[in-house]
Amino acid sequence: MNSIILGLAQVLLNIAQEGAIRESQLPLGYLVVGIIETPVVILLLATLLGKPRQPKITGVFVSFIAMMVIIFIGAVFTLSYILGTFY
Amino acid sequence: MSDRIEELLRPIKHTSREFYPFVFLLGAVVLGAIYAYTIQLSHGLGVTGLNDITIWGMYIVNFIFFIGISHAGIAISAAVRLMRSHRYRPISRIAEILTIVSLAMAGLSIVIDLGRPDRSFLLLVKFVERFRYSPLIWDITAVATYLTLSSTYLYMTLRHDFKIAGERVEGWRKRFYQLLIPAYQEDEHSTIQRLSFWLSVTILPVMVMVHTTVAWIFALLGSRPLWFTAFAGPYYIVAAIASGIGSVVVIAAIMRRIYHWEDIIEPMVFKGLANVSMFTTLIYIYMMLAEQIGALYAGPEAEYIVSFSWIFGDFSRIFWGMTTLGLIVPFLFLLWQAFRPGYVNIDGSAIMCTILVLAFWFKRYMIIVPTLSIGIQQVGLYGPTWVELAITCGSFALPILLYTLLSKIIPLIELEEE
Repeated sequence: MNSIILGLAQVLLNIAQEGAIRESQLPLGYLVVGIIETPVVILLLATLLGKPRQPKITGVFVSFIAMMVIIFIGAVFTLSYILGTFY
Repeated sequence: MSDRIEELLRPIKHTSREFYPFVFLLGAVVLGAIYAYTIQLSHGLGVTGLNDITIWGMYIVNFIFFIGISHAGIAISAAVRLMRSHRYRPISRIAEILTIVSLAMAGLSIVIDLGRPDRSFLLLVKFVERFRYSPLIWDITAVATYLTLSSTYLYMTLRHDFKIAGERVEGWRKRFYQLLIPAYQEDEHSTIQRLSFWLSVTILPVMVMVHTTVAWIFALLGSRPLWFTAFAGPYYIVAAIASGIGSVVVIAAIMRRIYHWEDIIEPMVFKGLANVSMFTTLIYIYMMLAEQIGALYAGPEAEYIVSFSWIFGDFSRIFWGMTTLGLIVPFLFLLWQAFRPGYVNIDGSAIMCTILVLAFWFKRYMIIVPTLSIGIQQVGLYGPTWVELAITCGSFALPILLYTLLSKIIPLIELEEE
């Protein structure tokens, strides 16, 4: 039993050593989320500020995006709560 | 023109006898999957074929598959709006709805894969803390952004159609369509067109990043053979375009036949889409060849072991079946069709694209399972259990069911009056 545990520990150690992440000044997450969200923010601003512009339609547009974000967050929390009843 | 609109509204206004048994069948498969999932919830992931070594299986395969399918919608819409390929306009909404339902299913596949799905909310609560290092968090960010923008894009372009549909139906449906278009203005068309144009420009880089981050979930794990590769992002994107466009060919062919839209969806639309699917399949086969030759002849030992198992070992039947019957045969058919001027076989293209789409599902299986199960210690052989198979069947039935039900509410082709 001990040898199996030691063997598995050795495998995990090897994996950890092979998969080492180099430290850098800028964590990759900042770069990735920046690449994803920066064009979205810039282009959404272009979308909202361009012409022809109608305040009501812009309002609908922004409201729909806000609604989708709320639905997404709400769905995650609701699903977590419902599935939690099984434990 | 009025007749054309009536024709396009036929799925909403009329329901055939076959619709109900079809929905019932899909509903039964989904209920079966829910039953299987309750067993998984009650007993844990031990009821699946997953183990300490093979930690990902069919659910993650489904996740990558549905993310891939979702690429079709915006790719086609972008072609219509940005490149003014108006020939493809009749199928752009068919593709956009496909994007929404497949993205929703991709998100659900992640939840299904979790051992403690009740802790899903931690992904949001711990977002700021974890996003610096977790590809899973990047992926959720990208998928959520993509889903939000795609839904907004679909809704904005639907407002005009909801208005027209509302004028042509009676009773509760009329009120329902009126509720869907708050603050509607008769002269909003030009503003909506501008918003849609910029929105499609916005979604394009997000589309690329969604599949790139999916690829990074695997490609940033340096210790996993065949995952750690610089071209993982492009590799996944090519597969996504081939399978996504292939799915649109299949759905458009079915809709065209069911609703007799032969005059609306031109045959050459299918040829154009099939050509894209064929060309991206060719690129994919080339990339796969480059990957396997490198791993077999010059890769580290673990890569050699996994590559050997693909081509000669435990997974060779899936690999060769997927490559020859799933990729090469459809590719040759579509190539033969592409080289015959003016010729298009819609049924043949749809059948070949169905095979192609299924092959890409098996390709995703090949990416995940061999690397995990034999890539390190050759001790974690994986085989899906009936629970996983039932949930996977449900994972396919649910988007088809959603699509079918949405087709009774949303006009599948843009209602143009001008």
